[in-house]
Order: sequence, then C-alpha cells, then structure tokens
Amino acid sequence: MIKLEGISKKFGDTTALENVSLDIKRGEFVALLGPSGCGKSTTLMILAGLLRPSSGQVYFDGKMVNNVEPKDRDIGMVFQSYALYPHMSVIDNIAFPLKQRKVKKKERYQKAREIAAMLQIDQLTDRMPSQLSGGQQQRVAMARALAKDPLFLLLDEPMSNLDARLKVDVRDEIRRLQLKLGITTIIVTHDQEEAMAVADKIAILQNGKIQQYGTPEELFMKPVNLFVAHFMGNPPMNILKCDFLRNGNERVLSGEGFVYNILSTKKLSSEFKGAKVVLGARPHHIQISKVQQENSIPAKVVLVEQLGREKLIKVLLGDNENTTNFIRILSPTDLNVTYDERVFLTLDSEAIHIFDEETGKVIT
Amino acid sequence: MNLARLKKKSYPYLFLAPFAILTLMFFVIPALATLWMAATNLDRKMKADFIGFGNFQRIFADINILPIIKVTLIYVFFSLVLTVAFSLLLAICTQYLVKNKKLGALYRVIWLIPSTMPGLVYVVFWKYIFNPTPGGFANKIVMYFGLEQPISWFNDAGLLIIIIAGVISGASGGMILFSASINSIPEDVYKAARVDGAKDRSIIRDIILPALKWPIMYVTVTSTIGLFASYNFILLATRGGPVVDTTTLALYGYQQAFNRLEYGYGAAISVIVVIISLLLTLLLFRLFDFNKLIRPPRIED
Ligand SMILES: Nc1ncnc2c1ncn2[C@@H]1O[C@H](COP(=O)(O)OP(=O)(O)O)[C@@H](O)[C@H]1O
Ligand SMILES: [Mg+2]
Repeated sequence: MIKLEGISKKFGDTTALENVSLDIKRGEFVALLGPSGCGKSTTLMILAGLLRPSSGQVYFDGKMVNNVEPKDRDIGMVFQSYALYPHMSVIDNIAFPLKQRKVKKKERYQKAREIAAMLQIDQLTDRMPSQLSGGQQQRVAMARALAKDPLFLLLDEPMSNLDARLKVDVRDEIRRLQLKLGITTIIVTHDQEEAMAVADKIAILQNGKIQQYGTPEELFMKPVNLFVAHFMGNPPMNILKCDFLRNGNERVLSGEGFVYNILSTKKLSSEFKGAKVVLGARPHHIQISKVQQENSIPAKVVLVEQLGREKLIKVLLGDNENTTNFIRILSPTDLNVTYDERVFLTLDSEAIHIFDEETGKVIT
Repeated sequence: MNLARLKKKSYPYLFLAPFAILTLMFFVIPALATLWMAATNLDRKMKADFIGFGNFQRIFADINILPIIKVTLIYVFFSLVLTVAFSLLLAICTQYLVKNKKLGALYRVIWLIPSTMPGLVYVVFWKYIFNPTPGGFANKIVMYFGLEQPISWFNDAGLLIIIIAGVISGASGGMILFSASINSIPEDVYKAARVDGAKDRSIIRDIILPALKWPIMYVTVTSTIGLFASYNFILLATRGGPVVDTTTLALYGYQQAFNRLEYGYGAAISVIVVIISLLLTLLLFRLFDFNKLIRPPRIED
C-alpha cells in the first residue's frame, strides 16, 4: 500500500506539487493524469525516491520512506525515454538490477531470460538498444523494471513514444501483465483514453494539485469541477457559459443563442447562490431532432463528420445567424442531417452538468 | 553526358579544389621533400647527393639512438597514459561526481588555463618553479624543510618534470571531450541506474566508461601522434639535456637538422618518427576495435 500525505514540491519559486494526498491499495493500477507540466512526473519521482518532497510524507506499507534510497524502495520503473543502458545488450540491461543485488551470474541470466520470454523479446536478447525499434525498447524497459520482482511498478508515460496502433497493443499488454502479476502499478499519462483503458483509479492533476481521485466511471460521470469534466472524454464535453435565472420554482439557463429549462427533478447544490454558471453536456448526451420539441434548442448544422460507428455533428446555437456558440454532438449514423440544415437539440437533464462559473465547481 | 549533369557532378570537386591545392602545397610537397631529403646527404654546404638508405644505416649505427628511443618511449607512454587517465578523472569528477554543475564547469575552466598559455610562458613558469638556484620555488620549499643544498631539478628529474608539465596542460583537451560525452548521457539513464541500485562505481564502470570508448580512442590516437612529433616544450626546458637524458626522437631530428644543419640526417630521423607513430596508431585502432566504429548499425523492423 502506498500513501502520499500532504506532499508539496518546490523547484526554486515554482511550485510543482501542492498538498498532494493519495491512497493506493495493494494490487491497484492507478493513473496520474493531467496536462503537461501539472506535476505528474514529479509525483512519480517522489514515489521513486529520486526527488525529495519539500514537505509531506510518503508511506510504503505503513512505513515512512521519505529518506529511503530509490534502490531500497523495491520499485521497478519505466521512463518515458526508456533509459536503456546504451552499451549493454538487451539481456545485460534486464539483468543489471539483479547484478546490483549481487544475484549470481547464472541465476540472474536465467531470470532475465524468463522475463524476456514473458515479454516476448527472447529472440532479441543479444541486440544492443540502438538496434531495437521503439516498441521493442519499451518491452526491454518493462522487462528490466520487472526483473527484480518489485513490489511497485512506476511507469512514466511509457507509451508516449509509440505510434497510435502500437499504443493500444502495448497498453493492453501492460494491463494484462499487471493483472497477471498483481503488481501495484502507477502510470503517468496525459492521455485520458489511455488512463481510462488501463487504470482502476485515476488521479487528475492540474497545477500541482489533485483535482479528483476516483474510478474512471466516477471521473467521467461525476466530475467535481470544470477542469475534470473537460479533460475526461473525447471529443470533450461541450461547455456553454450562461446566466442562471430563478423564477419561482423554475430554473432557467440562458446563454448566447439558447434558453434551457432545468427539469424540476434535477437537484442542485443549495449552497449555490450565484447567477453565472457553465453548462456542460457530453457530445453523446445531446439528441438532434428535425422538429421543435418542448425545451429544445434551435441550431444550425455547420459540419458533419463521418467517424464510422457514429457521426460527429457540429452545430451553431440559436435562431439568428450571428451567434458564435457552437457545440459538438455524437449521433448515430442513421441520422440524416446536412450542412446548413436547421435542427432542434434536446438535452438529457439527468446527464447535464452545471458548474459555478466563478469557482468551476460542480453544483449539480 | 550533358552539360548540366557534368556541371552538377563537378561542383563538389570545384569546392574542394582550393583546399586540395593548399594541402598539396603545405602538406604533400613538404612531406615528399622530406622523404627526398632523407635519401640525400644535404647538409650545411647545401649540396644534395642521393645516398639511398645511407642516412638510415647511419641512424642504426648512431650510439645516441638507443638511449633516445628509450627516452622517447618512456616519454610517450607515460605522457599518454597519464594524460588520458588524468583527463578521465577530471571529466568524471567535474561532470558526474560533483553534483553542482556550475562548480564543475568552473573547475574545468581553471584546468583549461595551462593549455591556453603561450608555450613560452608555460615553460618559464615551470622553469621558475624548478629553478636550480636556492631562489627557485621548489628549492625554497625543500630547503625550508631542512635540505642543505638546492636541487638541480631539471638535471635530476628532467623527464619527469617534462611529463608532468605536459600532462597538466594536455589533460584539458581530453577533459573537455570526455565531459561533453558524459554530459550527453541522458539524465534518465542515471535515474534508472539509481532505481536499479547501481553505486557510483558501477555507474562509472558500466555506463560512463563505455560511453567514452570512442572519445578515449580519439584522444589516445591524437595524443600518440602529437607526443611523438612534439619537441617544443623539451627544447625550451632542457634542450634535451643533460646529455640525451631528455632527448626524444623528434627533438633529435630537429637538432640534427637545425642545430647541426644535417638536413638529410634530420629528415631521415623524422621519417622514422612518422613510421613509428603510424604503426602505433594502427596498433591502437586494432586495440580499440576500430572496425566496429565504422560498421553500420543494424536496425530492423
Ligand atoms: N528539476 C526541475 N527544476 C525546475 N523545475 C522543474 C523541475 N522538474 C519539474 N519542474 C517543474 O515542475 C512542474 C511539473 O513538472 P513535471 O512533474 O515534469 O510535469 P509533468 O510530468 O506533469 O509534465 C513544471 O512546471 C516543471 O517546469
Ligand atoms: Mg512528465
């Protein structure tokens, strides 16, 4: 079990991490997700012991390990650049951690060969790293990290240097291995799809702070703030600024080119007293209709893109020509709409998210 | 072949031509002239008769030649080993062991000073330190500690001083090259090694030194050639004395040609110098497995 407690990290006057706390259970696969520069790698380096936190504690299995050297933390690590030792053959790379542990020569090569076989690189063991493709290097790096049977596996953007197709294969492979070995794994990624695909839990970071920590479903269905809502999902959630109008029991959202009545069954946070909100609606939670319906929003189609399984339709909101508010909708391919066509949108009241514009916090 | 293609094909040669002419004038012709001179008895009378291998026979009969070759080999070998070892030490210390990058860089700059000094100034500096009179720096020190008589340093340990002075000024070149190579090892590789439990010793042996193989070869080969051919410092410091105790083959050739004006004989000696350093260079290439360096990488799929 891993526990981060109030971790902060400063580099000079830049604060890379601020009060980060995280609980990771044994055998869990956790993704640290966030845009570039949000502090993911810094968190991982602190877990590895390659960086010291400015404040806060790191616990492994209940023991404080702030001052424990990386080599004594029982971790395997894969770097974004793979960081293979360039002048050692593949087998020597894999055996290197064992050599440092003074494992006997015969034993360590046998172990290295077993791991190589598990990762299907046993026919490459005599090559030098410079003679390997990116995907092969990635496997060697994984093999090296797993060679000493570590308690924890730390992966820093292990797939960002692979092409799209290979990425999917490798991430499935990593997940398969993780489940097979039951090894507690922490992966750093900026790709929400990757995180959703492999992780049991995701911690979303922004500006050195954890925004939300939970299962992929939780993050996707119940984002706590605008940042999480926008970061999770592709294409991203539609975001519309609007005024929040209270009229007796009616609650109305009014923005550029649209007016929307929130159904009375939808509960909102009683604490919210403001007048400015942001409406969030996922592209597949919006229905397109050719006829006007109750509480529907008029719009004009400006782009139709065939994605294969579904259609991506971009529409401009409003009756008149000079609005600029547009949203993206994913709809079944059998829906026939064409460029410039007038349509009506209905929002699933249960699936929409409303955020306080000032704080970005969710109020639904 | 049409004109346009001819023009295109001839461009590289046109660009190279000026340098080819310069090389011819200042390298090929003097080299050929030296070879020709070595086969003549050209001397102060400036009359050159062809004597074939006469000069070379004379070299083998020269009673000075054995001690001089011995001095040369000692000088080259120890200078080489110490220069490479010392520049490695400096590079590893300042680039890897000292974690403060600015401090390491400052230290390297300090070590660059001797090599930026004009040769003459550098010799004067060493001659001052090891001045044989009681006023010399080294003598002041040893006499402060109770020695009665000043030491005639250059007479007693001339070759040692020459080697040390050469190593100190010569180490900075290798140091810069090695530092740059160490610096080009990605930071992540060190991090990976730390996670894998490697200690400094293992990092230096398994990661840094293998990365320095080709730079070390380069420095070793160029130093070997340079050391065989150099005589300036020795000439200014000891003139090869006492007797021939600090005379290297290159210096001997110089002295024969320009002090004794035996141009033919001097030329023959320098031909020997070239042959020896050529053979040693080939040997070093063998030793470093040079073929591997120029072999293309094997990248598949
Ligand atoms: N060694 C360092 N020195 C100074 N600033 C750093 C250093 N490492 C990271 N940072 C800063 O800390 C922040 C977080 O970096 P990092 O953890 O690498 O982000 P991520 O991996 O999420 O892209 C960035 O603003 C980065 O510039
Ligand atoms: Mg990073």
